[in-house]
Amino acid sequence: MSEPTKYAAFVAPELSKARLDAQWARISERRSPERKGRHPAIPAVGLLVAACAFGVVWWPRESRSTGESVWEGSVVASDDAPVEMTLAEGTRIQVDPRSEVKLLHSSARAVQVRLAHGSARFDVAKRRSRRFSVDLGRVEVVVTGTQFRVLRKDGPAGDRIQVTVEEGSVEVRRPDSGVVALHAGENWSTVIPREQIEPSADEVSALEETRAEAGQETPEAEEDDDELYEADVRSHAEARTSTARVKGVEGAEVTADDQLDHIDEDSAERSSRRRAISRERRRRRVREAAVGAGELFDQANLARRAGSLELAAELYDDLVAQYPRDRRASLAAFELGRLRMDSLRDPRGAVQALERALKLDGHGEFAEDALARLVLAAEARGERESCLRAQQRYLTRYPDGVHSQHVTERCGGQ
Amino acid sequence: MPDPWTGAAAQRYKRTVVRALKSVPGSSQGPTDAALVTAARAGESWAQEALFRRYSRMVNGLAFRIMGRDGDVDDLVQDSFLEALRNLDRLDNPQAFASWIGSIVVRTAGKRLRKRSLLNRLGLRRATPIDADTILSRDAPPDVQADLSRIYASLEEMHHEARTALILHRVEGMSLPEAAQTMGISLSTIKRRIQSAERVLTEAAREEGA
Repeated sequence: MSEPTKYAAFVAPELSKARLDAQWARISERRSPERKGRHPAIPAVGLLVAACAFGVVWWPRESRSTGESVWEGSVVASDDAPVEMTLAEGTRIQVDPRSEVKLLHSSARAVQVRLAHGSARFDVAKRRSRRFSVDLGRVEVVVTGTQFRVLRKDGPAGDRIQVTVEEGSVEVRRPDSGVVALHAGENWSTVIPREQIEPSADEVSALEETRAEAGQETPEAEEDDDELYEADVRSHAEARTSTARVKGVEGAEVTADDQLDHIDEDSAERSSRRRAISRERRRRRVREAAVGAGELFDQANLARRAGSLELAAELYDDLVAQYPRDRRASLAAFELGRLRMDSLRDPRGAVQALERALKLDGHGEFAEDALARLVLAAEARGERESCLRAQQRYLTRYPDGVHSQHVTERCGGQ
Repeated sequence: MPDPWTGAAAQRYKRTVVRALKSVPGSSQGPTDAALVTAARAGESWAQEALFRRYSRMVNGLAFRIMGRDGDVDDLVQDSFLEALRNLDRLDNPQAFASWIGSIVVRTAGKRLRKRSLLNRLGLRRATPIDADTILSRDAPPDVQADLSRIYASLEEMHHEARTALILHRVEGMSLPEAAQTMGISLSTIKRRIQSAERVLTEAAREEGA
């Protein structure tokens, strides 16, 4: 047996204050479901909200860097000093001087922010279940949890857009040039000619399609690595038509063209890049596969049908714990109770799950079955008093129910 | 009986405690764990936040080292603290919050790893080896780097219980009894799990040498 070795100091995550704040914000939010939808900083941002009704908020220099939260529809415009703000879901945004940011949409599934002009730094809270994007007109930056900076500046040739990734990775999407993936230490810039600054209706729908595709990826939509690699190369090839540039941390600047040639010529680099792409996409698929009540429910059913009953039980349990208000939660709780009782030999856990199912929907189509199963579970545990109470509960509600005879015979009855 | 947590002085005290812990996370200055746990049990949100601030670094670190990926850490930390705060009443010795939350992290991570391995077996997920270069500090001496790289390269091939036991013993530096207590298992069981993990390491080293 080996001796203990203390290596913890050499394997530690990067913990910024923003990250810890975001973690605590999420814990607090999940601790207080009754307050969901109500903002924790209502008194502090009251004036801000009132001002938002008029369209724009100007932050005076003295009160910048408040760390206050903003709501959907808020516009934050800075003067000569930067402004820091925190979205309700924990993301922190530093709006640089003379810049303007608008929170277009904010929900549990998606957050969309528009940088109207200027620059801003985003420290995006890591949340698996929501899509975070920054709208830059003809360009959209999509992230899942990272730190990056964007700049949008009106110049003589048009709109100059620059994205710099400090941590994690982002995807830059354009309706006319596909997707460019950027990783930590890389930056991407382009100039949108003045006449193209506002996208046409067709381009808007193309952008919407790419956004929809991104949101609809499922684990079933398995693509093999070659296809993923080819798709990535194609997106780089399309990027050649733009003035996009990718620059490494060391400052050695290469165009997307160069990068593509580099990939084609260098097989080692190609192989490594290919692995990185497939790894990233696989990770995203798994992550996406694990979120959302619908997906959890589908996965649980799939696992149950495949005979992985413990996994199925865990997934149903997750659904009930994470999405108690979802319409599938009560059915998931019932299925959990059934599995624990029939297959996992856990009558105590079954009782908890069945009671939960009844609490979530006491009059659902499975309520009668749940009440009958509570009788059987109590009997299986040898708890005569509980069994009799459960029996009485069933017979009171369903005196002529389909299980009434069976239930009557339980608990050492007739 | 008057509520000890009301009044201007109490409010100032709460603010001071939380502010101090926000500025120096992990600090042991201020109220004892037992005092914070008692206040947190009474529903005092400042005390709950103070417990989080005091142990967030420790919990993040443990979660990171067990999972081996930064992307898994935030959810695990949140779930662990949520479970701890919901079940504070079950903590027999309030001063032992640190080891208790450590056990919760280990248990929660175990559930995730188990689910992941089942998904792998069902073909719903593909296992990807941990990239040690992305998680190891550049300050680590070469021999430590080599040792850790070897451990993390084989981690995904181990049973999740063996993996956790190995991390607690070889990375966290826990003695066998400590690791056994944290995992809630017997001394002989932890020995078996570490032996199982070391067999995987030996096998990997043999394959590499071949």
